[in-house]
Amino acid sequence: MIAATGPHIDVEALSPLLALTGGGLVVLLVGLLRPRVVREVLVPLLALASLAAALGLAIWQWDADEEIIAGALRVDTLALAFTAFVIVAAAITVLLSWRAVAPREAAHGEYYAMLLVSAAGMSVLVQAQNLVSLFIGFELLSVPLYVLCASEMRRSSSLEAGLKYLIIGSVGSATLLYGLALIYGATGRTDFAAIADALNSVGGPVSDPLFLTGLALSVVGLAFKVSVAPFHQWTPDAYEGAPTPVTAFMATATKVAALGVIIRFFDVALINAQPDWAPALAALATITIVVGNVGAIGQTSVKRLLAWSSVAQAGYMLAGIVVGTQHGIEAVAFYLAAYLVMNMAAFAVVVARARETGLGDAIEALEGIGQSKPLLAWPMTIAMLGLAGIPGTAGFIGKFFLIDGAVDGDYAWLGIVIVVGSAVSLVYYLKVVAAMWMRPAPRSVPVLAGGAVDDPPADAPAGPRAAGGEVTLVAVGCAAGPVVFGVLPGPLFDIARDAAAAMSHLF
Amino acid sequence: MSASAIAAVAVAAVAFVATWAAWAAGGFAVDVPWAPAWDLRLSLELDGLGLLYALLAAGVGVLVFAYASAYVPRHLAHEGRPRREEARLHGAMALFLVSMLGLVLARDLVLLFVFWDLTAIASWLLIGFDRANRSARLSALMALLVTTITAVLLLVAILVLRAEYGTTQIDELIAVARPGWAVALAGALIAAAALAKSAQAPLHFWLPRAMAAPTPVSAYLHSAAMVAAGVFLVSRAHPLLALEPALLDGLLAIGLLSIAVGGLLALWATDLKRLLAYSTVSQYGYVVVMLGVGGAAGAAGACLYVLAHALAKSALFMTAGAVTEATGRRELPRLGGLARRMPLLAAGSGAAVATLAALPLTLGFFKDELFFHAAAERGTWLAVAAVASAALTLAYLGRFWGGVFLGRSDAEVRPVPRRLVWPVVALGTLVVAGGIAPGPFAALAEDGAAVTAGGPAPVDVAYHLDGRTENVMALAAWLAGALLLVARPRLQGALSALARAGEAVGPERVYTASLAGLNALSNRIHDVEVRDLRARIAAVLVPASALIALGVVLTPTGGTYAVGPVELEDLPLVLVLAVGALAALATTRPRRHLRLALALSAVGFSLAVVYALLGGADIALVAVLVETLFALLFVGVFSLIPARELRREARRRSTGRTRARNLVIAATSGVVTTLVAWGAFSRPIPDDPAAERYLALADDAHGKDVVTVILADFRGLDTLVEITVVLVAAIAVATLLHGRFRA
Repeated sequence: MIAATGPHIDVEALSPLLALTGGGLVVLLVGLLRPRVVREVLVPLLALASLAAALGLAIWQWDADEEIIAGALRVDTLALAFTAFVIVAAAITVLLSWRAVAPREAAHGEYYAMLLVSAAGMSVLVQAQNLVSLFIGFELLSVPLYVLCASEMRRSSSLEAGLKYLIIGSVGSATLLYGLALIYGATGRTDFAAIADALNSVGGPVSDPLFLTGLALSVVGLAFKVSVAPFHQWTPDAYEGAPTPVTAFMATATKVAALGVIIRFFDVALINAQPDWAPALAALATITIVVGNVGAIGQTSVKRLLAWSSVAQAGYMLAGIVVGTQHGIEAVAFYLAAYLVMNMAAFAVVVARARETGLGDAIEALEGIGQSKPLLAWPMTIAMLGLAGIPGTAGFIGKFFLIDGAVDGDYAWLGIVIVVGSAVSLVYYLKVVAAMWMRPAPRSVPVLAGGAVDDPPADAPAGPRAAGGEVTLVAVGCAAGPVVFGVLPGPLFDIARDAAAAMSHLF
Repeated sequence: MSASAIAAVAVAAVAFVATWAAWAAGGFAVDVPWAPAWDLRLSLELDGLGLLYALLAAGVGVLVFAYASAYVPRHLAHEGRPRREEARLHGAMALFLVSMLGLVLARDLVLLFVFWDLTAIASWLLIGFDRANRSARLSALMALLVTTITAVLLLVAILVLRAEYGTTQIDELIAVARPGWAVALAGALIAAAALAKSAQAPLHFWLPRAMAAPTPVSAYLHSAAMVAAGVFLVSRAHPLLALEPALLDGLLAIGLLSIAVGGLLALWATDLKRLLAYSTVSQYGYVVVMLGVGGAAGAAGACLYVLAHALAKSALFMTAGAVTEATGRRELPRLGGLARRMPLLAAGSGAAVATLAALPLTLGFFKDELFFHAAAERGTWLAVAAVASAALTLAYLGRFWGGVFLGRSDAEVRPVPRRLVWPVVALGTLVVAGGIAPGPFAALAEDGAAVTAGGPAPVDVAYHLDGRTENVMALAAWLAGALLLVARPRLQGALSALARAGEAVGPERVYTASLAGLNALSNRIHDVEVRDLRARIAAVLVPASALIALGVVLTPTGGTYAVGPVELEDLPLVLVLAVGALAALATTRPRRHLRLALALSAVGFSLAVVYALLGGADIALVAVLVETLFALLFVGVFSLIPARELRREARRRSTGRTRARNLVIAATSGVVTTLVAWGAFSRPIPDDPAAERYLALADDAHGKDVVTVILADFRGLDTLVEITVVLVAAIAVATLLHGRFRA
């Protein structure tokens, strides 16, 4: 008879998660208070504080490598690094939301609480090492995002984005759940390590149709969240319709979390079935790179363009996971960090220009800002060049090592697909750069200083107004990242290497 | 001179002096770890080859930047643009200079690649400087795309070498590389990238287009810097390429093709700068031919050729700019007789033309001597081709200089600033000085050639008044060139036909067609981005089914699909399942919403009965609860929607195509699901040790049934998070409803 002892709860290892959820509760409650200054200033500040606390706790726990809560979650450097990325993305989102329309319409308390809870869900997801915790992390990250997408309630495209994301996201979640259930059915285990053992056993279920079906369905479910083609169709609409700060959060943090769980799920639980899933993932990565890059070329909305670009970028990062080596994971971690800051810089500029011009996220809003707004034009330029993988930026170094990882892991052809994809991507990234530097500002743009607004479009409720210093700060700060890490990649390398070191069973 | 111009000139001058001083002090090397985790190093080292190209880039830079300081303000004034934009051009020029210096000093291929792309970016900024001009923007993009897409080949080559030899240090690679597929592949890719950068046929078309750039940009990039980077890379990687003789033969072929194509088009062109652009294509063809010949003779010839050509060609570009500035014309037939009006310019550019055409008493004479020497060493056929090339060169250069400075024209000549003339004169003086006292130039070229050849490569420069082969070839070339120049008017028709053929089926056509194709494809994807929700869900189900079907097909079928016995006591189960199937079929029929909802509920309830019959009473209860809730929800939602809307929706008939599509999707999903379910039921259930343990522990946890204990204790965290999810969903719904009603 085994004695029933309560599991040891390691509060220290759990502390970043506690800070996020606790912060969410506090923000929700404080948001109920009436005074305007409390809602518009104190609530975001509290959100920032709890994010800072979570980040600090994650760094404090950096050397941890343990299972907590009876093996439901695993706190290791991979989980902590990805949690830290998510927290940084959430903090930047708070800054971008400071003067945005969305929190005012959805009520500040709820908006920021939703953001924190979603970040907590992402944290659970990257720590999950059990099929059940994987799925609940998945849900915890998704449900708040559906609402955040729709939080500009007076704008029909925001509501439409939320609804579409909800319906298609639910299909994705259902597919994932079905897949996880089948994997459990085939292996009889929910624990990642135990699944790996079951797959490794003699006559194991590696080539069992039940297991393979479960595998395929989970690939589909996870592919949704990372926007891997052909499961990406929601991405452009949701990114375009959602409030821009939320889009920025979805484009960066969701990708971090989903790739994090893919790394753990495929490279821990399913590593013994790698010959089965690697070709499928490689094929998906190829399709994604082609579709994303080609799709982006014709776009005229910057948010839509960035949505397609994020599809292509997901394809690049998938390549690092396909090979199933530590080297590949290092490259993914490095690239994710670079991708995060580059996208944030780009979205910050979109936020600023949408506020200043009333042209929304159309590419025309960027025309001519090379002269008039160098503090916005340079970050956008750096972000675009970085995403295109131009040398001198962290984007280049990250891409170089993704390709190197692919070549190293006997997927040289996938490396070549990445290279060709990034060459094609120049066409649309440079389109944005050219709009900023090589076009005159259109006459009709109502410029803030002295310019009168004739007829602001219905989608821009606030009309032209100051972009806000915090948005410029985000743009400049995030653009400094790719340059600094492009020239001195050392510190980021160390983080990436630490993260990959958690996967010590890999070659 | 504006401050930015002074800064640019100062940067170039400092670079020149510093390079010189560093070399005199015995060289210079930096080697620091860059990304130790991946064994990347920032290693820069000045050797003979680097010295040659660095001095060229910096030295020509000083003169061109000084020229630009007078040219650009006038250019901006013509276009009605503010003068402060001048700083952008000077800034980009300086950026280009620095990247070029980095490129020639880099000893690590990755670092070299970084600078390689930086030069491309800087050139993009420079060519597109006239941003109001659409053709300038398109030309800038073309130059960038052609050079960066081919740069991708360089990157692939680096990765191949790294995978094979584990290093990207050039010296280490040269030391360990052996002939084989890796070297052959990487060498071919490196050569392709380099030749595109040097505008060699068939990827030469971007260079004439790039003449949309302001003249100082062309004078710098398209003579001494950007295009020189290509042959520099071939020279740098030459010891690797030389391992595979076929690669050298390829270089030889492409070089000869470029000489011919560039030379003939230069003979045809009438626009001053385009003529010079084609001439650059042709002249770098010489260098590529010599690199293809290889050995000490080839390396020596290549280095001296690059030196003489860069000096003279930038002088000619600056001449073209000054002439256009003075007369407002850039077409050869509308110019003439400027020798009397601009004697200094005529003399300076005359020396430059003479050096390119390899007349005696100029530095260029020796470059052709070395060229002829290398060609004759290779074989008679190449010697003949070399003479023909030199004749062609003489003809188009004679046409250029004669067309501008001799004869007469009605052009009105305005005075031009002195700074548009004296850089040309300085370069002209330099090449003549090189013809009289070639020693220092030869020494510079010799140091460079030693790196390429991997051993001493003597540059023999002296006048020999005898009947040696080189002299005979030179005489033949001058004679043939003069004949060609005289006969040119008769050839105009043939040359135009060649140019038209090139435009109709040439590589530029392929470039524009592929860009247009990409755009069209993107628009198609945009159209297929269906906004119809059902199509999107189909887009999920079909690939997912395909993925699963692939898994099913791949598995061995033996024993996978078992058919068990059907007992009499199973009859109720079979009946209920049949009811469920009928209900599922029924969902395809109704057009009214309520009936559809009820049919769906019927499917759910029959499944609940199946659970109950199979002994899962608790699951059956949950299923009944959920089904009831959903049925009520449906009814509630329908009551909120206006009846008119519902009726209109119900009347909508789907087209035959939609129905067929739905049928295919449903059938595929159904078949695949059935196969999976069948496979699942045919296998033994794996034992779950956790389940046994939970059952054993249930009592200890003070729970009456194991489900409660699992929810509350064993998997408490999951329950907690799930509750959180439900709460968040509730808050979300409340927020949305609240906002809706407030709005």
